[in-house]
Amino acid sequence: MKLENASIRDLSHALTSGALSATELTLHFLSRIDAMSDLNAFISVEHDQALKCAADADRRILAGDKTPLLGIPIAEKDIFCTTGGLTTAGSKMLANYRSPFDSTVSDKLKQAGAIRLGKCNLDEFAMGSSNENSYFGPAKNPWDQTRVPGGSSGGSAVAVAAGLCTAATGTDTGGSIRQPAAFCGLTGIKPTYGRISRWGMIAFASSLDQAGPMTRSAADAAVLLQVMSGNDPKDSTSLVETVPNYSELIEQPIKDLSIGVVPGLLDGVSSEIVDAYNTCQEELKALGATFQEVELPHHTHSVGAYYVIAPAECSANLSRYDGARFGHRCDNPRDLQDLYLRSREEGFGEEVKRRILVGTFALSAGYYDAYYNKAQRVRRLIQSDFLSAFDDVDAILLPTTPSTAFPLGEKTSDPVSMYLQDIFTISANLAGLPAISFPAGHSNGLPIGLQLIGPHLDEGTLLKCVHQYQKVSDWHRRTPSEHS
Amino acid sequence: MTRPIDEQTLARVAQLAQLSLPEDQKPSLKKAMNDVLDLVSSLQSVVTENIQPMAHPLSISQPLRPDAVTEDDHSKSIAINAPALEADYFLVPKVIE
Repeated sequence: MKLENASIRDLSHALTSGALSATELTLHFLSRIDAMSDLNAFISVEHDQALKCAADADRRILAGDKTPLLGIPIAEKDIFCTTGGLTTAGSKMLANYRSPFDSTVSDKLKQAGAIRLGKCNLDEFAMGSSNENSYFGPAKNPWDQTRVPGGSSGGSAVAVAAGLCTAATGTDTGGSIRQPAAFCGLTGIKPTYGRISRWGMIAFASSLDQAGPMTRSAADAAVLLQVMSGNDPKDSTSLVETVPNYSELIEQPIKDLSIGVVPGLLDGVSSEIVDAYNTCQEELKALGATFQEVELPHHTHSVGAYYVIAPAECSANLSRYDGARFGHRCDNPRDLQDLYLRSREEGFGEEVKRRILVGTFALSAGYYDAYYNKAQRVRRLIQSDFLSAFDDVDAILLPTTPSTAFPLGEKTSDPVSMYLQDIFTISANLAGLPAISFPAGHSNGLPIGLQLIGPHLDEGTLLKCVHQYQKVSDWHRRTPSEHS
Repeated sequence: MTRPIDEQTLARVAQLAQLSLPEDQKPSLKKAMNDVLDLVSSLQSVVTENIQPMAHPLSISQPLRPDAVTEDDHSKSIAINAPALEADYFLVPKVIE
């Protein structure tokens, strides 16, 4: 068994049977992280803390504890607040920030016995689709290091794809789990809004942000999602809903599962991705799924609505960074106003500033109705389209991205072309729906990702469909090292 | 067509956002903002009469909890992040003349 590519289930068996210790496994991954530091997947690596957790896990395993994530090395996107090290959000503003508390997600994973190896690179405050907006430099796609890994959870995707950890956490505001999962050949799920607590997850756009796992397979994603989900009194938007047993649920067949396809939505998508989309439909049909056309008439307005709503919420959330209580402060401020203005100018990168300015404009007197209010009305129409479609089908199949991973630097000078990368992922965030990206092909040695979007709270069906597909396909088992 | 962001508007928005903008970045920021506003302008073609704005993806109400202290005193771990601190107070430049 190659430890770096092994499933959570196989690793867990090896750990509980005594064939492998959590300490050995942790050392294996830590040495790979050090050897592949040129990928820039991590902002901080927590050697000592990880080995201490591994020793704790070994003690629990010896005592007979068989918790599924116990002793499994993971990485966390550096947007989850964690104690004992830095939490930067990929920003100069928080380059030295030490969180006084753990996020609920981090705490739950820790309690479950997962071993955090470090904190992963990301676009600053999760704003970006290429990881090139990180203050710490871009992470590189292990399938082709001249290309982006996607973003904003780019470092998390690189860490899993390159075999630097078994699984990672990400966050998804407009596609930030699914797009990097697609570019790096992973399975990534953005759950229903409210399924996972946002407490301690540094806020970008609060009505859209949602955490989720990034893994090599749907079976691994099921294990992490189980631990991460559930109501949290500290997040009043987290749902009071029972979390099903995903690992059991995914073993059910998908016979008679009804999947929707949307005619006319694939214009502008690369031909290799359209081919993978068509092939995948045939493979799912062979497993018993049926396909029918559905309409999403307002889907084309998703990008427009998103790039009003997300910047508006961002401008409000990022007003907390004022240089007074924490975060970057400019040298020798003349007065309080100068302290605010210069600390924010120096602490934020270009893309963050652009979004703060657009958001502030959209919320300003005289423009609020034309932009923000209008976008919120369109958002309701987008959600209504999905809810109507789900009267007829159990899930909708779309590409995750219009192309495979693009070269580093290709889109940095044109923010709008970068924004259009998210054309297929944004609608699930606006509507609060669960959506999963999974590997379903290759083009010129680069992974292709497809996406299933489901009704609210039906992550189980999405995971089941992808798990059954992964039993008869091997795209998710391919690794960059085999390719190179 | 007149683009919505001119130099005056950019200055006003930057003031509202409490961001100082270096002179050499102003032209590119102005262009980028106008490009984004062009991108979102298609929203105006959507008929939204009688459609309620959707501020949130789920129709949920704010749950109440007992009014009891649930947190320990974190003041020390909060203070380590302060750029300037004196006797447990955050220091900022003088605001009253």
